[in-house]
This record gives sequence, structure tokens and C-alpha cells, in this order.
Amino acid sequence: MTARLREFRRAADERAADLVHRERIARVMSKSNAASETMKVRQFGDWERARRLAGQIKRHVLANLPDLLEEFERHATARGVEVLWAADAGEARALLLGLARRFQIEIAVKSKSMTTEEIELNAALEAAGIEVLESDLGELIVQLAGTRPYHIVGPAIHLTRAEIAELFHRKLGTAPGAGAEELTLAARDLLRRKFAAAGLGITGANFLLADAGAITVVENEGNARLTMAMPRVHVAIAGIEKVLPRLADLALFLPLLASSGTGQQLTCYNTLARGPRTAGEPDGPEHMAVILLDNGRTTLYARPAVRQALRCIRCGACLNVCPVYRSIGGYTYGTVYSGPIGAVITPHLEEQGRWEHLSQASSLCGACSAACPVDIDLHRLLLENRRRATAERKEGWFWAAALRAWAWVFSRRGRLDRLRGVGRLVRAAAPGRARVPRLAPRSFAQMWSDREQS
Amino acid sequence: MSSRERILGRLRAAQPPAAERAAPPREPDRSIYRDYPARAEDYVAVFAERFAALRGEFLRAAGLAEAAARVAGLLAELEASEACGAARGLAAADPLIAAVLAASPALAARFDPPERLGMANAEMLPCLAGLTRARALVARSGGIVLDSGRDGGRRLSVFPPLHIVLARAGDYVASLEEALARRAGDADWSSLTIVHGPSRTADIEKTLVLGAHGPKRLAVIHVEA
Repeated sequence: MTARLREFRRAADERAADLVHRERIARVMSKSNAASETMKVRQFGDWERARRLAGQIKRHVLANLPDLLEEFERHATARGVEVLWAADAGEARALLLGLARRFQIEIAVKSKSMTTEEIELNAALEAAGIEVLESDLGELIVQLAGTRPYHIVGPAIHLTRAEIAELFHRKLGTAPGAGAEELTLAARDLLRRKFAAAGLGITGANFLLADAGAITVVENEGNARLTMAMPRVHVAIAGIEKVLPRLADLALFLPLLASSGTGQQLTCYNTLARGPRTAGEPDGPEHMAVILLDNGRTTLYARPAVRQALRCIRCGACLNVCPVYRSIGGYTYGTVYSGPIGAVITPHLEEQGRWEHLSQASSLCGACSAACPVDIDLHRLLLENRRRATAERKEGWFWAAALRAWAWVFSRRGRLDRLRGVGRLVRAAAPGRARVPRLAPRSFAQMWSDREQS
Repeated sequence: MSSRERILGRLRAAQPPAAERAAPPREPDRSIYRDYPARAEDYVAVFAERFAALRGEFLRAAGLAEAAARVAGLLAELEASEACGAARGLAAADPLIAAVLAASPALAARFDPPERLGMANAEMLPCLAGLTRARALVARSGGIVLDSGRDGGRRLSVFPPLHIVLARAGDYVASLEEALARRAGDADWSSLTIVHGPSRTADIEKTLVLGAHGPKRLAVIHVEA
């Protein structure tokens, strides 16, 4: 057992024993899952067919990824978008800071984006003297708390209203014990002034549309729309796997993402952006850039056994249904992307040998695979990660020999039956130890063959 | 080598053989959904029902004068709820909007004209109502499709706390894919947004709160005749 796995198990045991935490997460997750199940049935005649079609479209995307990225780049560039490519997190940060310097940015607003979490953008902006404020309410809460998102869709679901009220009271001066409405209003008032003053708006992208050269951002609050509408520069950062071939594909992917992510038919705002304001438009940014991020995705792509993990649309459904996630919570994983999808992709995206132990954070029950709206076989990919980790790790000679012996015995019924004598010996050697089970005089296979012959 | 070449090169090197790169699966169509409004004459009623379920306010007006009265009524409610003085709004450039405002000079005086749509961000802070048309109203989901070219730019429909959409019978479509197909060929927008109800959040204990950062109230006034 590696030190990392030991530490992970210790943290997981501790979290799982925290009954208050478990009860809190179970309540939120049950609410999410119920809403999601209701919406899937109400919205799709045949959910299985819908997700299979989505999986096929994504399979097509991956088979044609370099071509679709070039097509996106061509169409976006023609609309005046500056398309930039970043090999890793450091390059993405440098590109963004370069843009901030070029446009003399002092204040930036950001809408919810896991990709910017992945490249640890906020710290880099602050180090460069640029004020950056999260505009999504959940993200603002974790930013003020100095932590990171607990869940890829609901960043602050682990906090109670009372805890958030206390945080806002301390940081924003709201009344102690404020209600959800009052807290939301406080965030709204704070952000209104920032939206009006910020020179740079940063978003992620849920989808990149190759044929339209547009990015798509999915949200409920309106903060992403304001982030793309008010500052004079808009920069979107997106993983290279986010591309879809056609604008028309949104007709499937938007409702699929909404029903799986938040249990809505469609989220409140689905916004496409493809360039700065045009000559006929009254407002909008004067410059738009899209940073296409690799950061390990090409490594994942080069491993056909796990490549399908790049289909992921980050809906969070696999986290919500995962019995392990629900017990140990989002932070125990220690990664930006938690839950089953995080355990699948992180070992490939980050330094080798660091996160392989996360594939143990699964009961292999398959609930994640059944919930996935793009038909990713998540629990099989976890097994594949285990296989890979074992192959790469040099186990001692004892384990190797023991496993070979086990395989040799268990691959033939007769060998297993002959081993029963060994079992009786062990039992005889340890009398009174209830833990050694009593063996039946004859095995099922032996009794069956007796029956057949009689 | 640039990062662009390196990324594309690594993808190409690992790309599956050409045989697996066949044409994409067909575009999603109505067959995957249920609840598909079949008859065009039902679109308005279906939209009104779905829109109301999203907490949108659907109002009917028999003519231009009644539409103007509806807009004035919404402004009066806003003044009461926000406890503010005379609420001012800003209107997108559109013949129907112009005609409705022309029907009531008192109302027209409370709306800045479309020439002001480009005002600085700071000037927008006191603007309480945005008045726009829509490119399409989606019956099946209760959605409203707006574009930055013709619907007053990017800010008008999201920054003010009240957003009012004027609609006519020809604006309604059955579904999102029809709405997207209508818009895809257009070259004149830099941003397109599909709206489903007033702004909302459930980030605090999954409690629904309306008016997170966008409009707290969203109304469609369906103008007949």
C-alpha cells in the first residue's frame, strides 16, 4: 500500500465517520437525484436512447478531435476571436496574464469554471496585482471562505445557510443570521458594481461549436452573461475536449446537461458567444479570446483504453449517485475534479504515480456509469486505472507468486476441490477460531456431478 | 514548435484510423423527446403554461394601447417592490416596441431610446427595466431566444431587474432545435442567449432564490392584432 493510499484511507475513514457531514451531503444529493430522475423521464421519451446518441456524437468528436479543433479555430478567427493554445496550466496562466497586461486590466470578474480551478488562475491573477472576483454565488462563497469547490456543479453544497450567513457577515457585513434571499441579494449588490467596473471577464465554456466558431456557457444566475456583456475584454478558457461538431447538437446536449446536472429541463441561461461586438451592436466586449487548454488531455487521448473519459460534459451526475462520494465528500479526493470522473481522469492529467490510488475510491457498483449522460463506462475505466497502476508498480515477489498460485488454483474446479484438504488442516490447526469457516463435506460441483450420474 | 502544433500533432498521432472517423451521427431530432407540441396553433398556449412554471409572467394585450398599459403596470409594480421613485427603462430598436411606446406618450417618456443602448456601464446602474423583442419563443420549454444584434445588445436583457419581452403570434416555434435552426444561418449576432425564466440560484442549501444576478422578474406581453 502506498503512502498516498494510506493517507487517503485515513482521511476517508475520518470523513465517513462524520455523521453530520454525511447527513448534510445525503440530503442535498437525494434532492438533486430526485429532480434529475423526474426531469429525465419528463423530458426524454427514452433516456437510454438520448444518452447513447450523445455518447455516439462524443465518440465522433474524439475520433475527429484535431480536425474539429481546427474547424472551430477557423470559424472563430473569422468572427474576430483570438484563438490561443496552451500546452499546460503554466502556459494558460501566462497567456491570460499577457492579455491582462495588453489591455491594462486592474479588475477581473470570473464566472464559474472548473478549468480555471484546474489552472489555479485566481492565485496567479492576484500575484500579478489584478483583483479577481468570482461572480457565481457558490464560487463566491468558496472564494470568500478561502477553500475550493466541493462539487463540480455545486461548489458550496457542503455549507449550511447558517455557515454562509456567518461568512458573509464577517466578509461583507451582512446582518448576522441572514436568510438565503438576503445573502443572494448581498452578492448581487457587490457584483453589480464589479461588473460595471471590471475590464476583464473570464469564463469557461461548456461547449465549443466547430461549425459556428462559438463558445457556449450554461448557467442559472446571469453572472456569466454579465461577465461576457460588460467588461471590455472577454477571455474563455476551455479544455480541448469541449468541442461539438454542430450548433444543432446543442438541442440534445443542453437539455441533457441540465437534466443531469441540476434536474432542470434547460438551465435559465444558455449563451453562445462568438467574437467581440459587431458593427451593428450597441455593446459587448471590444476583444474576445479563447484559450484552448491541453494540460494532460492529449496524454489521456493517447491511451485508447481510457480515452472515452474525454466525453465528459462535467454535469456532476456521477458524483451525486456515487456511494463513495456521498460518504467521503468532495475534499477527501484532494483533486480539482472529484468523484468517479475525477478518479478516472486525474491520474492521467497530472504527474504519473500521484493519483492512481483514487481508483480504489469505488465500490465498482456501476451507479456512475448508469447515470452518465454521455455513456462513459466510468466503473470500467476505474478498473482499467487499477490494472494500469498495478502493472506499473513493482509489487514484491511474494504477491506476484501468491497471485499466480491463486489464479492457477481457481482456474480449475478440480484443483479447488483438492485444496479443501488444506482448508480442513487450517481449521484443525486453529481450534475454536470461529473466523475459519467450516467446510461442507462435499462441494456443490461434486454434489451436482453425483446427481447427474444417479 | 508552438503549443498549437504540439497539441494537434499529439492528437493526430493518437487519432483512430480513418475508418472510425465516419460522418457524425444524425442531428438530434424531436423523436428523442416527449411532450412535443404537435400543432402550431397550440404553441402560444403551451409556451404560456411552461413559461409560468418557470416563474415567468405571461400577459396578453389585445392591441398596442393595452400593451402599453401592461408595460406601465409592470413598472408600477416594480416601483412598489423596489421602493424606488419613477422607474426608468431602456428599449431595443424594433417597430413593435416603437409602436407600443407611441401609443402612450407618458410611457414613452420613461424609456430611453435605442440610441442610448451603448451607454457606459456606470450609467446603466439606475436602469430598472429592459424592453425587447425576441428572435423566437420556444413552446416546448418556455424559452426565449435573444440575440445581441437585434434585441438591444448584451446588457439590456440581463442587467436591469425587470425584463419585458413583446411577442407576436409568428414568434413562436415548437422546440429548441427549430429555434437554433432559425438562427444558425444568421451572421449578425456575436452573442445569442436562450432564456428560461427569471434569474435564479440554488447555491445555498438548494433553496431557490429568484433574481441572483440577472432579472428578478421576466414578463412576456403577447400582443394580438
